[in-house]
Amino acid sequence: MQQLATTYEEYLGALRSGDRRVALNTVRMALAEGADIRDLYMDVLQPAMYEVGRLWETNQFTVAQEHLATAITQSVMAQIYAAVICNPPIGRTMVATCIGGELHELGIRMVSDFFEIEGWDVFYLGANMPPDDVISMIDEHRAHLLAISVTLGGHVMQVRELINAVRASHVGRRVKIMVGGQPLNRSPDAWKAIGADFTAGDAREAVKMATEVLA
Amino acid sequence: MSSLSQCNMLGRLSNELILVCDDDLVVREANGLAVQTLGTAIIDHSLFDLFSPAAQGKGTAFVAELQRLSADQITPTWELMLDVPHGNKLLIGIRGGKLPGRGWLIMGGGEPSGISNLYHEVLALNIELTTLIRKLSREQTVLNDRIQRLLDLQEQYNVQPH
Repeated sequence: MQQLATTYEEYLGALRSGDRRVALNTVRMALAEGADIRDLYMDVLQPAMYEVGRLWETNQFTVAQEHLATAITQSVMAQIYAAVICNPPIGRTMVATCIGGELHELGIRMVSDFFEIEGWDVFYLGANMPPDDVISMIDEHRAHLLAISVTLGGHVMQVRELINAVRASHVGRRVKIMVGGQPLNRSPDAWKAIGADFTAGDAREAVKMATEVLA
Repeated sequence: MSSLSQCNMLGRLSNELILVCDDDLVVREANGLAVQTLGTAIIDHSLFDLFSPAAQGKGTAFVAELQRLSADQITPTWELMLDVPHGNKLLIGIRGGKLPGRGWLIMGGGEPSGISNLYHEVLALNIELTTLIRKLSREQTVLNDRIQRLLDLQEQYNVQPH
């Protein structure tokens, strides 16, 4: 834990200075020293990005710095992806999407990677996919779970519209729907109101909940 | 001279958007550039209505800093995303200070040559790139597995390589 606290400080420093190589080396070194990739996500990458958000919100980071930090973290996650797909498939499939912009896709990427680590097949669709495309993907891949992430309170109604469209379709009965994101964390019963089957506060809990719901 | 004509003169001198807000942060006057950029509907609306939903928290922090100022201070420049007509967004650096008497003066420099579009394009490209890196990793894993299986079979049946 102490080691990851140091990794966090070094990683945040790399984001502050916009140094992609230092960021990647920091994470690779922690992995080489035996850190669990899930701990790296939860104790380094996620809190570092929350801190970037706080720095932006308090005018200590410009929009350019925030975008660069996001791009660096996306790149780091892609470079260590080989460590994510090391477990054999367990025969479960998830389709994942997010409502909002490209800037907000990191969270659902992390959640998707947690599911892949557990052996799920994950089809990540990107941001703001039309409901018909989401339904087609669920159908095509016989998905057990649809994961929808939302970052801004103003977009929660779009999540409800997507859920309604999926429920009304021919795949609506067989797929479970999980929602997550900061606005839903702040309003603990909102997931019920928008018609989801369950919610989770973070990536680790998402895997645990999905395993229970689909048991 | 009215505050509006002062605004227009200031705006012409600095080539910036100028807004005059009352004590409740309702926009009461705006120079030509501000009206042209933000639309006529800004008059008599709260300054908060200008901020995009994603910038509401940061906008609130900007206003809090504004309200903490003493009479001779101005805020540093805050980058904020504003909603502008036709569903567009504008990334703008704004700063403000107390007006002599009452109310607030808000000034904003225009977006530097569509930089927010550039940010989004770069981010979208990065997402495409990282998605490709992920696909490549997956392909590599599949190929490694197949090679390993072939080697295992070769060993199992004691096949000699040619």
